Amino acid sequence: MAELNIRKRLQEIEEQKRAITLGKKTAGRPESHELPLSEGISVIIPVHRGEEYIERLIGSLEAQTLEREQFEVIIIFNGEYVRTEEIFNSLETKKQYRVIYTEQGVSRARNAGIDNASYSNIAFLDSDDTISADYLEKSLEACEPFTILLNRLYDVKGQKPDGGANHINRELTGRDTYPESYYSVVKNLSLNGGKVLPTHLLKKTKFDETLNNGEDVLLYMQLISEHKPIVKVNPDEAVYYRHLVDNSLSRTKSNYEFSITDRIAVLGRLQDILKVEDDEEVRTLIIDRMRAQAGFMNRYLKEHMEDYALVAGEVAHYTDEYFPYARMNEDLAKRLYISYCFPPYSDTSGIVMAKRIVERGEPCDVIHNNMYDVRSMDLTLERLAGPFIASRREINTTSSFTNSKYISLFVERAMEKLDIYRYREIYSRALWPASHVLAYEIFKESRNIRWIAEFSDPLYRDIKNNIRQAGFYTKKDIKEIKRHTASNYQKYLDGNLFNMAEVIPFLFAEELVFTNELQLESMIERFDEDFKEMVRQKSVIDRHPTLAPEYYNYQKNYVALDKDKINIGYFGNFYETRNAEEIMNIARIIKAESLDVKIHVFTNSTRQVKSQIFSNGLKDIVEVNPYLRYFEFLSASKEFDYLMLSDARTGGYKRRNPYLPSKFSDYLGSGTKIWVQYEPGSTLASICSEKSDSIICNPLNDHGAIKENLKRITQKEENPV
Amino acid sequence: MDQLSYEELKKIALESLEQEERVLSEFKIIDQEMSALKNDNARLNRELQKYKEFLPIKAALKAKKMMKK
Repeated sequence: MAELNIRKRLQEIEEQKRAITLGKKTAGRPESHELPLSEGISVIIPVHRGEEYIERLIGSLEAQTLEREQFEVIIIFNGEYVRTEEIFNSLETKKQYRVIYTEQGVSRARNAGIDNASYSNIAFLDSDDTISADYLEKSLEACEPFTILLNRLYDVKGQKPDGGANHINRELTGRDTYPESYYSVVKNLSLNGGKVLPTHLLKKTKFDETLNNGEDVLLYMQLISEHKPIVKVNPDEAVYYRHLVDNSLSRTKSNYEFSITDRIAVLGRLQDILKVEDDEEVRTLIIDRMRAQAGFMNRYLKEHMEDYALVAGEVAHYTDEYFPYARMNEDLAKRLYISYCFPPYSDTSGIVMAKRIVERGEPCDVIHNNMYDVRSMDLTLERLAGPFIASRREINTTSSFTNSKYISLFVERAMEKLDIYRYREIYSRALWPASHVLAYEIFKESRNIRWIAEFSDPLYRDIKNNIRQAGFYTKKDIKEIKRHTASNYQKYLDGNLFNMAEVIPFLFAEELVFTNELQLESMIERFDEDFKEMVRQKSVIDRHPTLAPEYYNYQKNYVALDKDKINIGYFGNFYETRNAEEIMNIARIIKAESLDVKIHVFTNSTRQVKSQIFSNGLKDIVEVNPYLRYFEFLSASKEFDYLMLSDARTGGYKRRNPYLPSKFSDYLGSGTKIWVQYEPGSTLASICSEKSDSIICNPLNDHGAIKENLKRITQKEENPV
Repeated sequence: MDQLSYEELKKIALESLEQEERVLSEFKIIDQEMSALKNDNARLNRELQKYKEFLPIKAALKAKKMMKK
């Protein structure tokens, strides 16, 4: 995959498109002219304060065994340095020193040092650190023109060097001179100490002066991404002594600025590199460093959960490339979401569950089944709830709506994988009954857990009001459930999966969530008044969540509209109770009235709809397209003049229409006007009765009302160009 | 080709680029997932190696091998 150079080509395409649109050629990069460099090492030392260490530092440099002519020391005074400079001037020195001054900032100072370096290699040295007397000599011997040289790094606490017994140096122990991968020395490639680098690379790739810290991690990742240098471990022992002091960053007490704001800044820059990096090895390395940055955020959040919403808000939309959300959220979840089908599997019910997670905005764990056999995968869907998920467990079982064997296997495997006692709350959502079955199993084990159960649609009765039947619970199971059930409710317990997937949550969940009032009433109409009241008491009506505008820009859409016409979008599949005939009827009116309106249908059943269009001679009015993936659909939904939505037709089957199309919530966030075809008495019908400028409505197949609405739609003042 | 106007040619070129862009964007999504998984694997292997090198575990593994013999 990496050989395709995907990101590079995408950038080229962007440039070519721009050039075609503007009729211009893209400008090439100007060539840089560099001055020749002498063979040797420029040691770059930024000094801010440092009066305590300057003498020790100069002593270490004066002791170098490398010939005076082969190295220079560039001291960059920045910030507060007067006292340090006085001490430095009072010291007797024999080596070559150059002093420059910059405004405060370690990156700015180092960049000034790089600009002024006149030797072919650069070694960075912090003013509170020292190097062994042969450090520069042995480094120069090992230096190569296109190589980052890694030297030994010893930590010094008090006066005692650790002899290299630290996690950074250990990475080099027993390592080949030329490590087989960047990743094998990843910790060494995250800090300046102990490195000697070719000057010509650093003159092209410098420190980011806008970062407060983490600039070294970024520099090395940029160097590797831009130049793919060779990495070499110095076969000779040249030692960089890192003197650990109390105020060093690693010991800084965790605060918001360091642990969150600064980390997000570094993560943003690292993500920018990922956006143009195609090499898998380099990507793996950068991802590892991103995870390390997120580790700081995680540690902070563990101590300051009250700041979670703020942090999540800051990073929620870093989804264009990898972002280490799972590392940031690690071990923070107190709530487990159980959704048999969940993204990345494309499924409306799973998407709604992901939207619930976004709406809640708290860290969580998710458990779901592998739905590969019945649902397509859309990896972009992970962008939806991903920012809030700490751990997502996928259970590998054959997916099934009804099969007791597979559902039992799902529950059994899920229970093996879960540490249920770590959660305060579980939230199950069913279209797929297995979600509630697993939730009950967890509830049985840990009865103090708070259980919230949501219903996507009625389970016991299907859309034509037929009772669904599937044997699941045994007599023994029922007996056990009865032990915890009030005697007057025991009559509702039986072995039918679909009955129990409603009754068990009704009995044991602390809160029940329905997307509309009619759904609740329709689902409880089969029970006695006492039971109904018990269910109503703990029920909440909560419509499908609408996402923030940012989500509508996550993905590009390639929908081609007819600029000279009113464009109406219809997104959805067709089945017996919601068929394409309604669209055909509208199209016939458009044709008969010669209106400048085009209907764009996006559906999985393209052939069936196309056949209807051709048979009815409506091909100039209705255009059929394959179904769009979720984020492309959101993006496309903004483009139309109107979005059309139809109720499922339940008249003749049900007393009430319990279905509220979840598309309605997606349409609401698009900012596009909505044209609703409702079934009288439905939830959509009651929404239509509330006056709104952005929604026009008519009853399903009401010829006259449709005609009226088409007139409104085509009136120019409503749709100014 | 000769009969196409400049504008028509521009349109065809843009459409072709967009098609390529669409396909590459799909690849990019898979590639993103792949590199995250590769990092996971590399990290887990490193952890595994650490465990193997931890002396008591090393000794236990050796003993297990001996027992099998």
